[in-house]
Amino acid sequence: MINGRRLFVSSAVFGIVIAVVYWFSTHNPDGTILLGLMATALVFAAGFMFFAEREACLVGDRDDALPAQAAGERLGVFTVASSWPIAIAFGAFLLLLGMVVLPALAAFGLVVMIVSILGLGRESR
Amino acid sequence: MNSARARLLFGSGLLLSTAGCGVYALPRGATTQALVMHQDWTVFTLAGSFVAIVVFALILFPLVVWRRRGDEYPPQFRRNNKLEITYTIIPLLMVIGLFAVTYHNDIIVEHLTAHPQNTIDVTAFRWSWLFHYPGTAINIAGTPQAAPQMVLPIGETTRINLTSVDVNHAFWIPAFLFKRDAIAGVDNSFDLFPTRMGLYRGRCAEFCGLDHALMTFTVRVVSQEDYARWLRAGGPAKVSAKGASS
Amino acid sequence: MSTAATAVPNPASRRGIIEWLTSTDHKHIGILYMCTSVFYFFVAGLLAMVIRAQLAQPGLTLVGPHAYNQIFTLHGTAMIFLFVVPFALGLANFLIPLQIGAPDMAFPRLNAFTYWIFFFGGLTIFSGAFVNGGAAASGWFAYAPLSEIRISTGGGQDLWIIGLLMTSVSGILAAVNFITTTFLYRAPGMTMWRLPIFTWEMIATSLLILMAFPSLAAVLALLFIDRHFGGQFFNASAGGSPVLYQHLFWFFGHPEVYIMILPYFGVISEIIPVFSRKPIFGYTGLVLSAFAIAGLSMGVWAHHMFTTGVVSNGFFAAVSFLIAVPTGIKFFNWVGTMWRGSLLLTTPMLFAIGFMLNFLIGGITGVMVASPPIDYQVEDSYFLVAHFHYVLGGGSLFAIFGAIYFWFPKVFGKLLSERRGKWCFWLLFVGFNTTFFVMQFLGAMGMPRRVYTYQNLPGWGNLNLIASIGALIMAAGVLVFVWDVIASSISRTRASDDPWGGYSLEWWATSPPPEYNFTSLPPIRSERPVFDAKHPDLARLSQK
Repeated sequence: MINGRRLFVSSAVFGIVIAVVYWFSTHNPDGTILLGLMATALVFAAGFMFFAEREACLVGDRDDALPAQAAGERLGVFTVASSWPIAIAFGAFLLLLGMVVLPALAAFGLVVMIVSILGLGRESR
Repeated sequence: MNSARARLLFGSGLLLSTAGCGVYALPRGATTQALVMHQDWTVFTLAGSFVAIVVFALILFPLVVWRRRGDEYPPQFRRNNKLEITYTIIPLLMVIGLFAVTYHNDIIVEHLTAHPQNTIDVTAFRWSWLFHYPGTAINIAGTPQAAPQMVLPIGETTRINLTSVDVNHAFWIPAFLFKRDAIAGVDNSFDLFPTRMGLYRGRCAEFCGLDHALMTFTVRVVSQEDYARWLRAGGPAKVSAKGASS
Repeated sequence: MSTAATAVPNPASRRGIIEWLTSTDHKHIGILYMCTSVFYFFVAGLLAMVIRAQLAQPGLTLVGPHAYNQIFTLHGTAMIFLFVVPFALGLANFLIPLQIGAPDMAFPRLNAFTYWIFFFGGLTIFSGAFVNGGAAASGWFAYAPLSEIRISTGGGQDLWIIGLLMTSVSGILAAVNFITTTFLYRAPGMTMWRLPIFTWEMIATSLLILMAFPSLAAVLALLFIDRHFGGQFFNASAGGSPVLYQHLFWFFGHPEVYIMILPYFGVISEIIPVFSRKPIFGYTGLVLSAFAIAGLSMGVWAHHMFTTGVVSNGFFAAVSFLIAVPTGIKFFNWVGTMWRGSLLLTTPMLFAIGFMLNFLIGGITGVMVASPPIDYQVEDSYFLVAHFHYVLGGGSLFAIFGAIYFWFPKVFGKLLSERRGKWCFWLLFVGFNTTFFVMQFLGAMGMPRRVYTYQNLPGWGNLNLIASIGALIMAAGVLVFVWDVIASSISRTRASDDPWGGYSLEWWATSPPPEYNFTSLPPIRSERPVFDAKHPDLARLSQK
């Protein structure tokens, strides 16, 4: 995962640099906080890449690999179809809509979301 | 696209990029700040036109010269390090130069003199303007149907203090090539040093709701004697001035 | 031989509409995104026709101010949030797994969720038209205090807020999916530096989405709290600040416009090499410039606030000028690709050329407005309207048409007509430039934006009339396109796997590709594995 690490580390460094440059050129707290939070998020992602991600040996990273060499490799589980995504989206829609028009609708939407997320979880097992 | 059409496209691009005379152009500018702004505009338009012509030519030239004629596959080159570095450095130098010009001009345009000769407090509201001349009893408020008129003396610096009592508005006088936002809670100030007498239009330039399009005002620049007389007379009166320009 | 993936069987019937409602296949989801977004393009385009009809002459009364304000708000909101961005997400959904040689996205069900929440978000935004007070009418950036409850009293503004919250969630989760998939599911030999440029641009776009959209979600939530829970974040008289709204909004808003162009830089970078019969020139420069643009774009937001008087014009002008440099590099990459090539002016190539010509004008006017003294005159005027339409309309829209003409055979297995495509291109190109070029003059002369009518000043009526005529020409071009799609759907002629002589892996699969995309893959030794497989002699010569 070296490329993911490189991307987030260089982005984090950039974020820190621009936040610092911004503060010292403008002394504007609003923008500095925004850039600082952005840099923090990137540092968090970069940190995750360092400590939590073991060095994955991806066949995609080997520049001399041939497709036949990866034959039979188990990539993972890919669903073909599922009803839960649209159900979760519908629940979220009702939840937010209810916040504007009718609180009972929001409560109902929350229930639909929870049930659907549980359904999604069960489908994975 | 054949060669004739390519030439037509190129030629019309050239023509359009040099158009802009007469009424269809940036106003000449009626303040000292506007003159600086106008110079900035000219530098950028010339630089932009130059870049446009060069890049248009670079894009259209291959279309004319290297059209597919048979089944050939041309040399499959992918890079040229010297060229890539060159076309990175030259634009970088250009934008640094443009920034230097901009920075220099912006300082002049935004400069606030230590002792402006006049001051006007401008308050924007939905959907017109209030002009208050401090130290006098002159308050000029308008409506969307009756635009208020600001009177300014030629050849003197007038400080405008600008704010809003409701939503965001913007105080724009196109003939002065300048606008500033009127924002509740923000006390904005800028200087105007008019150089030409006349009647100019102003309008709101920040969308503020229903009658935003009708939120206009006018600015009358008069001689210093007429201005003094106007102040003494206590406000809006018929002051002679010739012509009106947008 | 393909790699093995295990399918989770779905016991529900998968015919017809149920198949589309429950599919987690990235190709289906991509098609759903692209078709929905093109639908919103038609809606927003109709709104634009009403705007141009109303403004064709001074003092017209086709629509009154309240209707007009809703119309331009919905036009901007729909074009930006419901067309240009979702079309890119849809195209990326369809293409990324194919281009990297993967069977699907990393999170297929999350993928489906991102489409459906976008679907409901779009409905919500437009549902405002049916409530008391009408739809949101405070512009697509909805500045507070104008969008606060005491001024925008109707529910339309709230529906706009929550609709956008939904589309924000959609974008953020799609970005997560794109980055994960691209890092983890590349086929053997598909190293990062052999990715097609479109995929690289989507990585940069996804990074931008992750950094920018949270700021939008935050400002929308704060506005909602102000409107309904007694918040005073943007109320100056209670200690809040309208300027804070602008900082929060534009911290999102500026990266948003790069989110709207980077995928389309990728599209152009796919089309031009194929129809020049050469590899893309300066691959490394293109990739690095995408990230330079992404990074710098996070630091320019307050160039939208030059006229407020409360931001550092110097800092933001400097960074805004800097962004022109990596953008210029891309232009030279494309010119270098065409240079000494063997050019074929098919419809996709015409749209790519049109993109370059239009975007150049948009970019140059962008550098102009990045200069504060110029911005003081043209901010919030029709000059600005011209600038952003040149980059978004002349740029992104032309790239979208180019993408449709290029990948339509792959997605649907049918070719669009070259003859009708050329008519579509020329009508759009002539109409677009007619409408928006003259707006530069209108803005410099003093016409502000977002006005439902204007004074009868010298030249204003003429220029506005020209702009409105251009809109009619564009509409004709769009109608030709619709006719082309219908005719092609009826036609029996099927497209081959690789009608154009394409370079990247999607052209190896059938048209359309099967479930799980590939039954075999060629060796991958460059960013154009399909070309290399079909022209082994040229492949050896051109390898890095």
